[in-house]
This record gives sequence, C-alpha cells and structure tokens, in this order.
Amino acid sequence: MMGGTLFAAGVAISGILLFAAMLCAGLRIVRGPSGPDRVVALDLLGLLGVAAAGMAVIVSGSVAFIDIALGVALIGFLATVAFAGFIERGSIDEEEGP
Amino acid sequence: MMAFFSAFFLIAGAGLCLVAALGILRLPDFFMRMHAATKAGVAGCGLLLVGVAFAEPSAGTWIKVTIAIAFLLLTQPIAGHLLARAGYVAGVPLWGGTREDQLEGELKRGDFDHPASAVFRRKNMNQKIEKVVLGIASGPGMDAAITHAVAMAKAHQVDLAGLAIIDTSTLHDVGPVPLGGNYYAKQLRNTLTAGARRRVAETVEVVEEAATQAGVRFGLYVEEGDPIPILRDRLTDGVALVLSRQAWFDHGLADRKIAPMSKLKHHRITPASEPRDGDAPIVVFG
Repeated sequence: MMGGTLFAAGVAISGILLFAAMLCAGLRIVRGPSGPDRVVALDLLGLLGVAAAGMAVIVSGSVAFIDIALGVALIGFLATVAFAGFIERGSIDEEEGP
Repeated sequence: MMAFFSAFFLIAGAGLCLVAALGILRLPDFFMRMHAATKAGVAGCGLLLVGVAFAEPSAGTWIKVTIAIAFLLLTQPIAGHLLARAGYVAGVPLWGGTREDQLEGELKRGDFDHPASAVFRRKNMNQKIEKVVLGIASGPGMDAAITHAVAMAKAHQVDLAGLAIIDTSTLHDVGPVPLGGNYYAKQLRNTLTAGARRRVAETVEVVEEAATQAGVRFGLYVEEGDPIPILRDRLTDGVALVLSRQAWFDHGLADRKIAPMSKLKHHRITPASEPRDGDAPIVVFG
C-alpha cells in the first residue's frame, strides 16, 4: 500500500468514474430495448467487475483480489457466448415451417 | 514515481471504462453499442489493471495482471463477434441513418420484433384484391413490374393505379454543403427533381401503353416526398402494391444505390413473397 495525497486522489477519482460507468451500463440493462442490447450491457458490466476487483486490491490492500480479477476475466465471456447462441437459435425463422 | 504512474493508469483506465459505458448508454443502435463496449471496455479494463500492478509491484502481481489482460484480449473480441452475429441473424433493427448493409444477402435475417408476421402475411394473401397499385420508379426491373401489375389487374378484373413518387427526401440530400455553396446546392436539387419528373413522364407513357393494350383501366397519382409514408397510406385493405425489385423512387438519380427490398423491410413493410431470383417484382398486400 502506498501513501501520498496524489495517489489517494487518483484512486478516489477512478473509483467515481468506475461507479458512473457501472450506473450507465445498469441503465442500459434496465432500458433494453432488445435482448441483445441487455446482453451487451451485461458483458460490459462483467468487464467493469474485473476493473472493480482490481480497485479492491488497492482499497483493501489485499493482493488476493487480483486472483478474482483474473478469474472473472477468464470466464466472464462464457455467459455472453451462451447468450449469443441462445439468441441466434431462438430466432430461427418461421418461414421454414409448413 | 510509482504512485504517479499508478494514479495515471488508474484514472486513464477508469475514464476509458466510463467512455465505453457512455457509448452503451448513448449510441443509437445495438451494433454501435456492441462496438463501444467490447473495444473501449477491454482497453479501459487493461489500463486499470496495469495501474493496479504499479500500485502493488511484485512479480506475482505483474504476472497475474499480464495473464488477465491477455485473456481479456483473447476472449472479449470472440464474445463481441458472436453477439453481433447473433443480433444480426435475429434481426435487431439497424440505425435509421444506416446507408449500406454489407451483410445484406450474406446472412439470413429474422424479424426481431414481429415473430408473428409470417402468419399475418399468409392470412392477407387469401384476401380478395380490389385494386392493383403500381409504384412507378425508373430503372432496371421496372419492365418486369409493369408486366406483372398489368397481368394482375387483368386477371382480377380490377383497375390499375399508377403511383408515381419522386423521393425528394433522398434527392434533396446532396451531402454536406461548403460555406457559400448553398446556391449551387439548391440548383443541384432543382436539376435532380426536374430530371426525376422527366423520367416519371417517360415511365408513365410505357405503363399507359401496356395498360391500354391489355384493356385495363388506368389512373395515375403523382406525389413528391418521402416514399415510405406515401406507400403506407396507399396500402389499405384489398390493395396489391407492385414495386420493381431494383428501381427506387429516386429514379436512378441519387448518388447511392437504394435497394427497395431492404428499404421496405427496414420500415417494416412486409412483402408477400420473396423469390431470390432476378427481376421478379415485389408485391405487398395491404
């Protein structure tokens, strides 16, 4: 952990920016308007989660949080890929039918 | 010094994350939003992790941060690509100002908001046709549309109405005008409109001749303005609207090619059948 007012101010500012970003992404999830829009916002929220885990390392002083960031970065995209497959299969056009 | 670097990277990363989130919130359509989220998001997150590594400098932290960034760079583009593809195939609407859809015809597109449209279409096709309206444009594919419309009117024993539209909304869009160029832009608009009127007159003559030969009664409407609302107005019950597959109401004068099919679909006017081949005209039932 490092001291210094400059560093503390930097951490505070980036925390606020990150929080605002999360609010924006959350607003898009609520608003929609379509399913894929929500999934994209969810994907970004996962990315912001990685960033937040990184911030937690500095704020709490425990280096263990970096492992969480690594883990989320590793598997965070799986949900998006699954959703993408779901959207694509769910939209198979009706014209194939009788 | 390390504290300075760390603060710099943290703020830069969080700022980029905020840019990505603002993009998600403010951009007008799904594909642009996806673009913002997957690119700026990864860059911002990576920078922020570098800042963290500067704050807790040890070999272990640096290695883990490097691995995390590498995986972000590997996985997020895949997720973004799959999601964009799924969105396109599902038929998420494009932004209204989109000029060109390069995937048109490459990937099959669904109808995202109207899954019931196929049923609706079939129901309407059995309806009795009371009037055939031919959209009069100029360009390739128009002859096929004229032949089709005349044959249709004759077969159903109904009147044929020609609907000549001059798409002033497209023709008047002459692009950005430099300072002092307004006079010339106005002149260009007038020239284009006059040219479109001439072509309408030529095409109407052809249609009239074909109608008289087949013994079909023919009436003509001429309108200027945005074609989509005009077409919508005409599409009442019992109307069969016949359009050329390739010619649009700019009469071939606009500097870009407009595909009628994608234009109609974009505005949620659903054609009755969709043969992929050649010049077969588009038919829409009201």
